[in-house]
Amino acid sequence: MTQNTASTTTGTSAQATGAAASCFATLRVSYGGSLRSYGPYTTTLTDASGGCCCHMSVLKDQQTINEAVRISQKALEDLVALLTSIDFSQWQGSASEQCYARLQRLTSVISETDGELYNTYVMSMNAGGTP
Amino acid sequence: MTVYVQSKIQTSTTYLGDMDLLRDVAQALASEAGELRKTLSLWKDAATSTAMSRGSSACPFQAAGAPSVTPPDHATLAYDALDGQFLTHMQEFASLETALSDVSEGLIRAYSLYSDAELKAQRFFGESVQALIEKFPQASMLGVAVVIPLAPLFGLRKHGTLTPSSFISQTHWINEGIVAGFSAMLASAGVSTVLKGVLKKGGEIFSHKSGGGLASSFFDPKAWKNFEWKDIIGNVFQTDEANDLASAVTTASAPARAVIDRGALDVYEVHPQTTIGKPGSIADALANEERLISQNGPGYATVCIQKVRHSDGSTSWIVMLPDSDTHEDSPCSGQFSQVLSSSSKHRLGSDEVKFARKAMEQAGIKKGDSIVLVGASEGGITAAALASDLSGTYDFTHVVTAASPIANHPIPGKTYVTSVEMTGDPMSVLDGAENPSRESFLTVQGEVDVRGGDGYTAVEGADKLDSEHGMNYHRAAWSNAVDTGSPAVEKHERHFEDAVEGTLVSTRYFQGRMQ
Repeated sequence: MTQNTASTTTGTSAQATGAAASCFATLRVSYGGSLRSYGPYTTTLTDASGGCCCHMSVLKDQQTINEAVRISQKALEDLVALLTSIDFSQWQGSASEQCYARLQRLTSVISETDGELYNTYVMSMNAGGTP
Repeated sequence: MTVYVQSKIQTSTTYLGDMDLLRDVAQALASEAGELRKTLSLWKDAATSTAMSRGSSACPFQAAGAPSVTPPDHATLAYDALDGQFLTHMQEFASLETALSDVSEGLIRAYSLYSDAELKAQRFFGESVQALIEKFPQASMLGVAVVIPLAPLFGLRKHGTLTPSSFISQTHWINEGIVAGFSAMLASAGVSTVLKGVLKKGGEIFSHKSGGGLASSFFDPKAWKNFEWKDIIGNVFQTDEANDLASAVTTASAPARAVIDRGALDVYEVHPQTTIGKPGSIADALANEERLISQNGPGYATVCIQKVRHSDGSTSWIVMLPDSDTHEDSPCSGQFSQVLSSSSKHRLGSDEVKFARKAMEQAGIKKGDSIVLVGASEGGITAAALASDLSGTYDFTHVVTAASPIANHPIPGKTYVTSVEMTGDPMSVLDGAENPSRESFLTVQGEVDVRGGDGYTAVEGADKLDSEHGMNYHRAAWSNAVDTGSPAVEKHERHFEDAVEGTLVSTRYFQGRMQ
């Protein structure tokens, strides 16, 4: 995940407003660092057909959780891409500044969520078993 | 119970930047909020799914309280800890989704991004309703008669309590069409004749002569004109049916008014115990107007005129106009149809406008002077009439109105108009049309809600749902609009502040009596 992806909106806006936009300081959400990149979504369970029914059950739960983590990560990536692509300085009024400020504050929630998703991912990869 | 207001801002915003692009941004944020909502559901499903698989497993290492480390021939997960993670994810994604939705809605409200589509739809429905009423007047009357008793149920559905005013609020998008439709019907030639007869008889009653049969002649459906489709289509492109009706009523009532001689207008200065300070903002102006027309103010219909000296040495005036009153000898009673009329002659001929003009002259306002007008309810209509009909005499810089139907008054574009309305206030729909949408004409339309929350403003002094005609509702609506950070609202605020900038020289009050 990078901060510069999917900036179609920005491209259009820059063309649309041209010189007017350059009169103002940029009001663009910045996301410090980048979202975690991890995977592959593989399990430590190599034999799902082990002696006990718990193997199949755990494997199914791991798949469910990993799918949720993967989709959540994608949602965060899309969100960061969208937020960093908008330049609020193009529109007059304090409303655009308020929106920018609120979205900028969201980046800390995104960062926390990203961290928690990673924790969930790690926890789901440990399927018990004596080391 | 606390009553809240959320406002919609209607104006032309094309001067504020690329609105199409901003609309795309708002939609993208709303769409992303939708994706986050789906993700939130995913975690809810994950929690349910793992709980079920764990509960249905026969393996003791998956039971609640079992250790997360198992012998090699068993497997498990740290289910209890994972349940906590699922909950955290749900909260985090809910928080992100709410924030994005709020920002998207904030942008839409602040930049009036719904205006085009919604106004077109509203206009379409309004004109359709108007056309139906014009074509099928008797059936429409029957429909209204059936719907009115059901009105409180609309309030019950939305607010959980019975209130007729929320019916007006819920149907505000067609109310102007209803008013325009019935106005066109009543203003038609046949009914004008009936009205003339009715009002003539009314005049006879007032002058203690014989009269009667008013209701029967007024409600005789045979007198109503059944519009042809070509007339109806013509009316689609017209928005001032209500003002035409007011004009027809004024014309038809002329004989009655001639019989009831109200005498000459006498305007004199009064000195109330409490005085009104200079407004520094539109919010101040609305608060001052409330004081002027409230029972705690000077009382009888009173015009308040303030003289301001600007920092460059020039002077200007703030004229605050009274609402209508019920005193028989007041110039502000029984003038509604005249000040609302589509005829400039009727408006200028009304006692209310004459009263304002005399007060302005006595205060020392000269031809060409700059004036800010403030008025609520009928006082707002009078302000609109002055700004429309005397624009060649005075320099009306800014007009602020609350609860006033002024959509069709021909106020020149150079005059800034800031109009505050409530969707549940029947007064503001009596013009039967949406206010003009231009840079210098801003309409703030408040809607009540008892739930409140982010983006709402509490109505001062309102502990139950009652009439939304009160100034406290309109002040809350304006305050809510200011809170959005709308650049259009800020522009009107700045314009008003510039117009009244400087030192207060004098505050004078004038009352009028029909002698």
